[in-house]
Amino acid sequence: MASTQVETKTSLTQKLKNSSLKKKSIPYLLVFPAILFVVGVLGYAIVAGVLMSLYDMQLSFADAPFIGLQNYIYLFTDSTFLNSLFVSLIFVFGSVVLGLTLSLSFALSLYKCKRSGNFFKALSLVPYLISGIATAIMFRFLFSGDVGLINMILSTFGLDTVNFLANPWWALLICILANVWFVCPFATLILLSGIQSVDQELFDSAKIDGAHKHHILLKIILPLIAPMMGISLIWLSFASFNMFDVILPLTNGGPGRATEVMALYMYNVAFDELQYSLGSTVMVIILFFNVLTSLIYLKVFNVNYSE
Amino acid sequence: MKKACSVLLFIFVIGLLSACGDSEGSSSDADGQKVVEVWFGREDFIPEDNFEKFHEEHPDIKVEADVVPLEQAVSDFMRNHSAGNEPDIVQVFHDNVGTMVNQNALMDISEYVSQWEDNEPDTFNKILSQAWDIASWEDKVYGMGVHVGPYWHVYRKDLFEEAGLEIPETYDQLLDAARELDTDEHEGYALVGGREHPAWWFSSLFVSMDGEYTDTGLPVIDSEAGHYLIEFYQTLMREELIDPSAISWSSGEMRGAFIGGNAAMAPIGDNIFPLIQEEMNYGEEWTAAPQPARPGVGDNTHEIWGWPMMVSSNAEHPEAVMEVFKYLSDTEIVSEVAQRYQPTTNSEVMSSDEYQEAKPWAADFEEEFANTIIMPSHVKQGEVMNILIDIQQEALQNPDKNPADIAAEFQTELNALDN
Repeated sequence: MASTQVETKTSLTQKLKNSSLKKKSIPYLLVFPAILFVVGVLGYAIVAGVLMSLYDMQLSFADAPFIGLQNYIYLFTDSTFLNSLFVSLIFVFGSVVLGLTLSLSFALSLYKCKRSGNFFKALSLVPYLISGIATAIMFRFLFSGDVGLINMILSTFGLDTVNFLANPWWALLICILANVWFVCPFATLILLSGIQSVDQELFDSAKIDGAHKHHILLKIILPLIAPMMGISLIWLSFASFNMFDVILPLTNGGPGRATEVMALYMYNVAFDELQYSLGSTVMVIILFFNVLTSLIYLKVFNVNYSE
Repeated sequence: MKKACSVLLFIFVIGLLSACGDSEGSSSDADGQKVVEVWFGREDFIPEDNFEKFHEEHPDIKVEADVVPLEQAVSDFMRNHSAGNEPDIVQVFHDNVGTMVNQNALMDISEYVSQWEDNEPDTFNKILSQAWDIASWEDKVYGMGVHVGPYWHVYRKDLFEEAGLEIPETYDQLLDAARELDTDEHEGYALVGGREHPAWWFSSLFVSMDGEYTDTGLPVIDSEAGHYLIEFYQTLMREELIDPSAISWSSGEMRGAFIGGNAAMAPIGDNIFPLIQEEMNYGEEWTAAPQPARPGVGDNTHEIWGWPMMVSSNAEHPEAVMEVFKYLSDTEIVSEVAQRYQPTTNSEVMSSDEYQEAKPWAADFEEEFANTIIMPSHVKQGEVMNILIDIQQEALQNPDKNPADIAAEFQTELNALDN
């Protein structure tokens, strides 16, 4: 009898354990298709890209010999690529600084926006929902030399017009602005979610203690949303390093090669010049920069999900 | 839980089956018809009847037409060719032919072209030699150019008449006219200076200035013609005869400036003329002429571009493919496309009353069109084009730099492509 009771108890414990295991496994099971998709599509592309970068595969020639690291050596001695690397670094730095400043401002404004808050949150997402090509065309209309809206406004006020897209530095600035317009909304949402997660009592206590607004921002909000800022920066850097669909129709890298970022260089090399291996090599370099900057942000902003 | 597992398993199996699907291109359907799959580069190239008459005349052949933009046709075709899924015929920019031949992706159809010539001389002789030249590589024919497109110069006749100017015959005269016509209301000239397009306009002007190519298809920029061309661009910018932002202009902005009366002249492709005609009358407000010549050079040369239909090396029914070519270049069929879109290599159409009525400028170019040369292409044509764009932009950005220095610098880059 006692033995039967023990067996029943063991069986029950086992059933409970199994049930608990099943429950725990469900989230992983549900995530599995997404992981499979990411590994299948991205993972394959990365592995194939890395391998391809070690060969000399050009569509103009039938053979594709193994050349080791020669593509990397070529790129880091090629003035055109080095120019695109330099342009990329300026582009990403400008986009990140401007993007983070604006998205933080927008997030704070939206946090304060109690009436019709949801409407404005939805509205702030609109630039992100517009395609890159549409964004580029919009900016082209705004900054065209002769019929652009900005120059019309400048003329109205009796000011000299500017050939924005014909001047290398102006053109780069316009590309940064277009990029920020495109990537800022998502960064805003990330930061807003961070601010909303801060305990309201902390603000109230600070106010009672006589803290000024800038103290609240610097001493409470920014330290508490640091992990979210890290995530936001990863997004801004990642999106800027990969930015291609806005710049292509906006300047296509011109004037000269003043706005030819690495992603655009990669496209030109791979699809205009049909040098697939060289394009893959640039892909690997962009990936390296993305991983490197992400690791730096994760470290600096102490993003740790286990805490 | 079981349901979730079943759904996931189902999705996985479907995905697996899709991935392992038949990768062989279908050349015959269930009815035993020969299937010819064609990728057109633009929808406008597809005949209006969408092969209806062809299917009536050839019940044993079924044409499946699709549109893959010219800009991505080569890479898409090559990828599909590797997987055995490519179409039988693909339309590409003609300067990609060498690349495709080097990849063994195209079929030598010289034998079938000869058969056409022997068996149906009446229809064959209507076709200009450019149709075959544009689809050839090292004396072998790999397809057919049904449509080709030259670049000419367009002029605002109203502005020229108002200023009492003649249509320029040389580039020096053109610059003089541009100086005369450059006012507060409009620029003297318009050009595509941006990086958006390949350097088609630049190349067309180079050839008309007696520019030459090497045997491998590289433009000899470090030459009298090359120096003159660079200086021409520099003069336009230095003397502000073009819009100061022309360095970022695409073709749309150039043609908009001309049609809108903001520029007195421009180099524009024949295919754009119908658009201009919609806004102005040919011979009254606007006119066109072959490219001017470089001073001191007798006759100039006119270059054409094309979008030949290339035959896949794996095409199983080359005879059926040739029937498709005959149909696409048939006078009745191609006349409809040529009247609304690009000129054709069918000489009968080009000299027909209907065509010249639909395109009143055609008669003025009949002789030049028949004597055009096909733009030579290099096996690394993409790189050649990028270097030509660099030259164009360098000239516009540095109008005071010595043209010979610019030419020499970039010629070195061009010559390196032969190594």
